[in-house]
Amino acid sequence: MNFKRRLNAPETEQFIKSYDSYYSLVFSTIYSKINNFHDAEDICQEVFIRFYNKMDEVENPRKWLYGCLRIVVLDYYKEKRHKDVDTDELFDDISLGYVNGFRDTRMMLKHAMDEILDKEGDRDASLFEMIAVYNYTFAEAARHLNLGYKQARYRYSRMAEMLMEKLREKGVERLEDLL
Amino acid sequence: MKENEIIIQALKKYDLALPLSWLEKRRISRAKRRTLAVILSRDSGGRFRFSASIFFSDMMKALGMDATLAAGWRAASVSAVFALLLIAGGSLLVIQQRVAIPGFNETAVIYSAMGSVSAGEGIVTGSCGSVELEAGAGVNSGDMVTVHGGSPLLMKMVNGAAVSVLSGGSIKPEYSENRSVIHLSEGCIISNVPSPFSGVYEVSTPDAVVTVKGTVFAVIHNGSKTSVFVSEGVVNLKHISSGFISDIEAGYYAEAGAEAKKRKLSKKERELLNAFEIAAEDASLLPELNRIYDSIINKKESQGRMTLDDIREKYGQIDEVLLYSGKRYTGAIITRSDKMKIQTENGIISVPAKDVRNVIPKQ
Repeated sequence: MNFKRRLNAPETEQFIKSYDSYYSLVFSTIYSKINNFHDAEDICQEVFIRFYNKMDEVENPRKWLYGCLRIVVLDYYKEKRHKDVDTDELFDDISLGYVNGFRDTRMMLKHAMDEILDKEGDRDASLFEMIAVYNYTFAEAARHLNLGYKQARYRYSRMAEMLMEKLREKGVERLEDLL
Repeated sequence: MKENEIIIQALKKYDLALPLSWLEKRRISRAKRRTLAVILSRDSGGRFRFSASIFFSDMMKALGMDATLAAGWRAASVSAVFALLLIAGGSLLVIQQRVAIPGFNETAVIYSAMGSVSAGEGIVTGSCGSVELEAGAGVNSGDMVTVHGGSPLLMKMVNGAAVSVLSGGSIKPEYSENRSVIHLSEGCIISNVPSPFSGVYEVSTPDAVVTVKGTVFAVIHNGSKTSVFVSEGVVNLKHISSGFISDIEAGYYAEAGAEAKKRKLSKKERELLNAFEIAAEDASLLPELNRIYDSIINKKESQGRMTLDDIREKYGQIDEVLLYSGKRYTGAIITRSDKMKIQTENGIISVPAKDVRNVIPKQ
């Protein structure tokens, strides 16, 4: 396919939409796990190449990308034969970790977050995760996701409200109680 | 936003936050564009074109437009055309500054060496070595300009001054801030400095500095002597070693020295300055300047009387030639054939050898 055809192809448009929504998030996830920028970039590239090839078959891009990145990270380390990296530890379920003696609260919070992130649309979930988990500002997250600043604030507050709703269902009346 | 802060604090407390630094976020942002270009150009190639399209579409999105990659590519193409036009225009301006605009803003331009330029008559020695001058060439501040042969150079500067360097002349123009200084190491330069003149215009020779605020004047440095002719305005002449300063008015000639040696301009000197003013407008008349200058110099030499010390220094000894007629000539014998030529203080005298009675060497 030549340059102009690819530029105007509908699948390119569709891919870019998902790419814009998830790249920063997928990269941040990989980078926070392996802590090497260049490796993270290579892995992220491989994840999105696989996504591009399978795009038509993917129903939930978020779940697909997170599943794919685990596989690619493991393949990457197998191929590179890094002796100093424990690949088993990389994707340990963090909710099983014992932190500050509040394991149950942590699992509950994580579960509530996963529920709203899985339920909401691509961009809203990415926006919430980028701001709350990866410390992006509203402006930065809005720029990555091609949203306006006010749109980003509004969508984030909606997600925060939904998180509170989930926590209330689990018996937490106020988020301050968790602090 | 209070709500957001509480969420972040809660996630941090339960180790669910994985904060990134601003530098990492910036690098991720760059990697995002890079990776997209790599993915899209895998089969079709043209990674640079994809990169440009992505860059421009991102910029358009940042400006609130709903831009596609195709729109980004169109924007990149238009920008490339504009950039090329800008570069071409800029280059043209720079070239004009050096070639078309007569100037001396760090660069003086050789307006004309003659009506028709013959190579090799002027040489510029600068940081890039020596080059032969031709009309339209630029002379940078600090370059050494030497004029050979029979063709004077005419330079026009940004500050409006016109300068002619006559044959055998050697100058080094320097420009800083609003100060134009021409160092004359040998020969003659004639300047037309517009009045009023913004800044300082100076001609300096090894023994004098001539400062001007708007006038037409010539400076000649011949070996050890600097002389100035002024046809318009007033110039300030400073003799460096004695520090003596004098003002030279229009229509006067002066020599730099410990005291004022002024006189009215001779006909030839006035003619030289008038011819320069015409040649500044019509370059074909430039050779005329050399002719007048040569006649001034030759006249001076022919008028120059030698003292006995000069003759002794030049010919090695002084003799007294006694003739049968009783006449005596004191000087150096130049030839001794059937006619004896004697260099005396009054010039060269020729006497028949048979008339010479005796030659007595003098101490």
